[in-house]
Amino acid sequence: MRLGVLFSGGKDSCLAYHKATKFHDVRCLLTMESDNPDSYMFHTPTITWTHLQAQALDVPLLTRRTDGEKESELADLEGLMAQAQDEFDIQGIVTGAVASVYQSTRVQRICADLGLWCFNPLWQYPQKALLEDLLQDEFEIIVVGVAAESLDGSWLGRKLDGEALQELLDLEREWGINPAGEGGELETFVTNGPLFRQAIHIQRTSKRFDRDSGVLEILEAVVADKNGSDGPMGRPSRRSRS
Amino acid sequence: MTIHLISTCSDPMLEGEFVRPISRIVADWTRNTGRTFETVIHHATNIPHGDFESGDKVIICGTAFQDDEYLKNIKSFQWLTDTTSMVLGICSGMQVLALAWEAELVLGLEIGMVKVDTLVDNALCQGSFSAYCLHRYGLKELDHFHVLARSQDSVQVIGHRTLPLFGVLFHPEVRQEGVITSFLEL
Repeated sequence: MRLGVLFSGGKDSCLAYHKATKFHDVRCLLTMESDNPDSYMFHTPTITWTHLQAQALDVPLLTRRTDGEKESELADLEGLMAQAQDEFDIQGIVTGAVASVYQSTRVQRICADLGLWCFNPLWQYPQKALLEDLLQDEFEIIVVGVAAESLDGSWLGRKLDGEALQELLDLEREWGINPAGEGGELETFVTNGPLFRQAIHIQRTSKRFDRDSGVLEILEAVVADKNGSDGPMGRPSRRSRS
Repeated sequence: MTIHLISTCSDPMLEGEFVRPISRIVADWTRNTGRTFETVIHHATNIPHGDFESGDKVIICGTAFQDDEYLKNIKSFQWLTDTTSMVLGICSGMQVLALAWEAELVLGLEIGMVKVDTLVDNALCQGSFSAYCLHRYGLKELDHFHVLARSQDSVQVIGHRTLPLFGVLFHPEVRQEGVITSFLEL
C-alpha cells in the first residue's frame, strides 16, 4: 500500500516510519508546522527541521503551516493529507500515536472523510518498551523540550541513551512521569536511525528554560555522511536560522 | 487451557495496533494473577477448527475501520455457532460473532470516545462509562443475544442468551482494559 507518514521529527514518528517501511511503500512524509506551542495535535519545538530529516531519509516531504487553533488546525491537516493523496497517490496515513485518544480520534476522522486507511503501529505500546526498541534499533535521539517538574534544563540537548532511559524510569517511579513523554513531559528530535542514509549534525542551539519547562531551539544543523564527513559529494547541506 | 487470540486484520501491520495490545493485557493478567494459560495467536483465515477446548478462552480482536476484508470470510466463523469455549468478540470480532448468529450489520460510523450505559447486570461492565469506538457498522436483529450495554447510536455489549459468548463493539484495550480481564476471570 502507498502510505504517507505524519512526521514531527520526534522519536515516535520516526519509529512509526521505520515500522511502516517494513510492510508498505512510504511515498512521503507530512509535517504540520504549528504556530501554537500549546497545540494538543502537533509537536512543535524543532518542527521546521524535518526537512533535514526527510533529506537524510531520502523521502519527499510535504509541509503546511497552521495557526494551531483547535479546529482550523484540523482543516489544515486535512488539506495536507489531501495534497499527499493528489501528489503521491497515497492510500493511507501512518501516525506515531501511542496513547493520545485526542490525536488519534481526529486523524482517524480525517482519514474516514478522505477515504484513507489509518495505521498507528505504536498504538498502546508500553512506554518502556518503546524506548527500548528505539535504543535497540540504534536511533539517535536528543531531548528538545521538557515540561515536568522533575525534568530540569539539563535534559535539553541530552541524548536519549541507556543511562537516560534508566533515569527516566527512576523518575517514573518517583514522580509518576511517562518515561517516553506521552504526557507531554518530553519532546525529542531524531538525528540518526537505521533508515537514515545520512546523519544530522546539530551545530548551534539555544536553550530556553523557565521554572519547569523549556525548549532547545536548533539554530544551525547540517546533513552529513554517517561516517562524519559532510553531506553529499563532500559538501555540507547546511541550514541555519537566526 | 489456552487463550486464543484471533486476528481479523487483513494487513499484518494492523496487528500491532489491534492484536498486540490485547496480547499484552492477557500477558499482564496471567503474570499478575499467577495463572498459567498458554496464549496462541491465529489469523481469522486460518482458525484451527475443532482445536478449541471447552475450557479455552477465545478473543476475536478488532481491526481498522477501513478494513472489511473479514466480512468476505464470514463462513470461516461458522464455528461460533457450535463452540463450547468462552468467546469475546471485539469490534469486528463482535460483528462476526453476531453475524454467525443471524444478526445483521447496519451502517453506523463511530470514531472516538462515546458514553456507554449498562442496561443489564453482567460480568463485563457496569454503570455508565466512556469507551473508545472505531467502527463503520453496528448491529441489529440480535435475537440470540441480550443487549447488555449501548451508546446513543449503537448496541455496544452483547451476551448470548444461553452460551458464554460475548461481544463488545468498542475497543476495551483502550481505556477499558477491565472488560478484557473480567472476561478472562470468567
